[in-house]
Amino acid sequence: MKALVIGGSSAIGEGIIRQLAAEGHQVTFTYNSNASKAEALCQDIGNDSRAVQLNLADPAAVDAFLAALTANDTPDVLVNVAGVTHDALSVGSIGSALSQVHTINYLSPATICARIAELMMPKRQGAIINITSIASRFPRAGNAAYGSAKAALERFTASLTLEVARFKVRTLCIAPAFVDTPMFREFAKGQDKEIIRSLPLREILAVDDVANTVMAFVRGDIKTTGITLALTNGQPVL
Amino acid sequence: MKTQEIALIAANVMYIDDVNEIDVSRSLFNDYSMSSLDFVDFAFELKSTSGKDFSPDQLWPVNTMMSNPEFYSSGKWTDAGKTELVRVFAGYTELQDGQLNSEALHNLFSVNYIQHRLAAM
Repeated sequence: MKALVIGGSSAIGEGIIRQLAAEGHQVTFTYNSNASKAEALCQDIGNDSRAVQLNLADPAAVDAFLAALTANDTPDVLVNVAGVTHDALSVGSIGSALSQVHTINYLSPATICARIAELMMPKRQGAIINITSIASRFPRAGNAAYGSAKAALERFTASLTLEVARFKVRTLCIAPAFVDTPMFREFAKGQDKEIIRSLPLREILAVDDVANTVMAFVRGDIKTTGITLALTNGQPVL
Repeated sequence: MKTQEIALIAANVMYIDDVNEIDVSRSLFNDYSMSSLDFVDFAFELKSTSGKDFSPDQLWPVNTMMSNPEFYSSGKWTDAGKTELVRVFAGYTELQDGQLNSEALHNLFSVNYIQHRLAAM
């Protein structure tokens, strides 16, 4: 079984890669800038894993990466986990930032989904998993760009689901709330305790909580397609 | 491939119980309501059964051509587009001016056309 993980050098990406490899997947993953970490991860997990540099902010690079894929490269599993946060008010001259956030969090992952789905369909199997965010459901001052990009990816995935379902390609969006990652600590700016205190469960997710959900879907333990599954810190999502 | 093999694949894809309901000269798009997803499914099955390597667009290039401004622009086929259409249907039918619209072209997508197209690949 082959897996392609877009964004393998993030904490969540690494957690997912490790679990995929542990269950026998030959993993190809992309990274943006941390080549040494990617190489170390490859060495660590073995199993013919491969790391490829890819900048999701560069649509031409994404197109070139996808154009080089052949039917023999078709993964059984695609996980889009790469993303970038952007916490800023959505007033004023936001065009450039909005474009970049949407390119990385929505346009590139959607483009990758579309191409990989095309490769999976003739084989009549495949699992496409997009890691989105609970920010898509919970508007907050400062998260318009990030939240709307993740919402767009969820909406895109929903329509894609209808087009690939008969070919037995299944999709899932996983929308985590706060996860214990460097991205969370950067967001918290030292206010970790205050944030956790404000959460209904008074705890944040671990990386493996997300990875476990990915694996449950890949194994077929979650028998669904086309939904967004929210992994929350206790906030009800209706 | 024989027309009956092709018709059977079409019938299976469209959940038509009796393959004899498919007239091999009638349009699968216009007369049997083959959807765009049915078409992709149909092309995959034909590819698998025929052993030939082709994409759905190669089986029926007209839709892709219509989104290419070199071939189709301002609601009309360009000269290059007309030349390409003639090439696509060469040996199957000679296109008349009245057939240069989407519906008339879709009328040509029959089992007979597919047999011809596959043989030409």
